[in-house]
Amino acid sequence: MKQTTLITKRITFLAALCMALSLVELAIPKPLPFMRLGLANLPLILGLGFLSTGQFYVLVVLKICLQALVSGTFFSYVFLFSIGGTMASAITMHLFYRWFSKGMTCIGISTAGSLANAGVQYALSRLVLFGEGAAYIAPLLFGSAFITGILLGIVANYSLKHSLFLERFAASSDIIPESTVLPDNVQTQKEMTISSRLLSIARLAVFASGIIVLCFVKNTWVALACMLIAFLVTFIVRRKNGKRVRVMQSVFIFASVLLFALLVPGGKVLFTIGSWRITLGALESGIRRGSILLGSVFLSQLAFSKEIQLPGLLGERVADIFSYFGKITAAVPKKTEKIRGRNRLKDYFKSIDAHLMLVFFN
Amino acid sequence: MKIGDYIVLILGCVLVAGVTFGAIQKGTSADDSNMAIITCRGEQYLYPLSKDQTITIQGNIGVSELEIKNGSIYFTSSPCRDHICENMGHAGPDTGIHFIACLPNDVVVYVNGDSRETDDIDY
Repeated sequence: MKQTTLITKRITFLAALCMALSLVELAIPKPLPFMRLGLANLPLILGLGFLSTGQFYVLVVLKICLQALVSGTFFSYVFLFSIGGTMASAITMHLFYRWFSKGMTCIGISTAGSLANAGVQYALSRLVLFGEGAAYIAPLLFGSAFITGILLGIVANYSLKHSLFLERFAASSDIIPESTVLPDNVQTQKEMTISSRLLSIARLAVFASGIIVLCFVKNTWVALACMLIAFLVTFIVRRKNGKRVRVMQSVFIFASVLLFALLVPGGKVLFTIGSWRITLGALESGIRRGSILLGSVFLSQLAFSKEIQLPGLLGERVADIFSYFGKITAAVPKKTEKIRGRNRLKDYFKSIDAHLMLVFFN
Repeated sequence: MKIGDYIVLILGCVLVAGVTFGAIQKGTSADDSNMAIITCRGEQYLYPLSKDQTITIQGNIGVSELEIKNGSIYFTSSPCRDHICENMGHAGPDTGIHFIACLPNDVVVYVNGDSRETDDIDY
């Protein structure tokens, strides 16, 4: 029963905040798909001050899974990067907070965590994605991690100083939520019919077999075909349910994987652009890696949706998180339109702060 | 901002600078050194010597097989009569051999030297 005592009301709220911030992060356009702002790490940094070690790592695990659900990368290759990166950054921030918090503010802690994240991402991208070409992406990866780490640290420092919500939140007593907090969510769980249950099992089966095929496929063109089939199936299924598939973003990810693979030549020279020789081996390996990456993402989007439902107590806690998530995200878009003027950022911060106060303490 | 922040920021700068320097160096030196250039029947093939692998190439009279191992490249089999190519040794930036070939099969392998010194001795 340990997990249920660790997932308290405060943790579910922070997890929902991570989820909402992941959504915000998704909406912000980035020049490269691998760059990350790490907005969803903000609750982790802020939580360091008042969570126990166990609670902190429960929050980390929740953040990893929820972020993957929001971005549609659950159990895909991107998920691997997310696990490694977030874990490295969380452990670093935790240790730095423990050892150095007297001589360091959130800026140092956040930057160290962000760089640790980049280090693991680099190692993984070298292993599974780009091979030797990873060296070329390293400056971008570490440079952007450095800058976003500092920015996030500044935001964290500002929040610690000015957020009334955080002050009250950290001081509030840590209670375990009652199991009947959300009657409407429990109801929908019961309404799940046998056919929809079968359908979700079928999706999981397609997902599992697809991932296994992608893991073992050696031939480039088979991998490409698998990816395209996965895309088509996902596209049709999601369209039927009125959901979108981010096609442009996928093309972008594929193109960048291909580009970095082409930087390391291998095999027959097909043609040259200036002094850059495009080789068949590099082209094949780029297409294969891009296909595996994207294929796993499409399969994940097919199998898992944000409305995931788990049985038992854990399921109830997850339902709590989603309920908070809905409440947090409900009011934010309207508020951005209202605020204009010189103190826009400050006012925006205040309005979010007030909104969080309302959601949690109401 | 406390002292620890400055230390992390300085170390971070050093890390980013180091990684950038490494990438630039790799980009400028990667051109042809540590790379095997194979020409065969008017086509060019490129293979990095850093990755161990077996290469098969269809030549004029059959299939030649080459192997890249420990940073050097050598013929393991060729359909030619005298098998001179298999005895030409290992070509690599450090082995002193920069050129091996199987002329009957029209497979020519060239490896650039790493430093100027060996070039001076060679020519």
